[in-house]
Amino acid sequence: MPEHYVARNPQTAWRVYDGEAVILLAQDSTLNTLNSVGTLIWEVADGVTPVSGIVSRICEEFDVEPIDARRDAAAFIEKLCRRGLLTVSETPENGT
Amino acid sequence: MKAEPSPTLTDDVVVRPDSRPARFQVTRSDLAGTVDVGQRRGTVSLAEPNEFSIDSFLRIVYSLALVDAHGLVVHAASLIRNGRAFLFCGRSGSGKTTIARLSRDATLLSDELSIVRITDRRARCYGTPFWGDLARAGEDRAASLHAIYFLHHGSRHAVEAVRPRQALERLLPNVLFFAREADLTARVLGIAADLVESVPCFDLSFRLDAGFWEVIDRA
Repeated sequence: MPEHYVARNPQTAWRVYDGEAVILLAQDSTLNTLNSVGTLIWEVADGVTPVSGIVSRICEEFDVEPIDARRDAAAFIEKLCRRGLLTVSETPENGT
Repeated sequence: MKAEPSPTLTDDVVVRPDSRPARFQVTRSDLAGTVDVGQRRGTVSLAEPNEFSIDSFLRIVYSLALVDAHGLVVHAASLIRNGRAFLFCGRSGSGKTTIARLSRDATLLSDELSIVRITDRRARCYGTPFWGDLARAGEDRAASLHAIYFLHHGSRHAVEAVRPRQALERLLPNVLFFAREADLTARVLGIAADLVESVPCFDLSFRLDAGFWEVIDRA
């Protein structure tokens, strides 16, 4: 299975309070708030870390099985992509 | 996770940066103008002579100019009472004008759109020329902002403290801002975050009498 890389939309501004992110999308002023797991994904979504690395981080920091973490992370990333907050690529952002 | 569209999004207003720094082109169906924040100048052409168009343009001007002053225009009533400013934040119908009407012993800064600036983590609230149903401009005064209250109609008066994240969620949809550029959006978010981190924030449930001041004073 090919690796994927997730990146935050640079047209967003965000703050984290108590482990939960508040995200503002510039183009339409949409406000999104994430729970602690979602915030972890958001913070790690640097365009360089593969999804498998994000799932590993989730398993390290939360009491969750890898198969569940992988499934939930994929659904969450897809939802944030639909909202224009994340993009997914098959290559890391630096192209290597 | 939840997403809320901003109620201040007015799709027919377009604000775009000009080729010059800190200059913006503003267009709407009834107006076209330029706001030069750096030069502190603006021009506007109206489709028809109309005070509402001028009012709208001025709101946009304030929202753009205040970013450089680390300030915001907020859908909120604001009042000075005993030397301290109080901000009552909410959308149309939330009770901003009602709060202003019930506060006969307070100085009105606005019953519709309020201005807040933050300097050295201290927030001050300023009177504005913008009014709601009260149809009266605020006094040209300012005071240190004591607290922010997010308005809710209720059957009794009650205040409940809200943490900065919840306060930011409540505040942002009430911030008047039109530009869609990432850097400006980040600055507005930063100002709003500084505001909720520097001032106590509360949910205020109130009914239609001035008794809400008693629960505010006790909180």
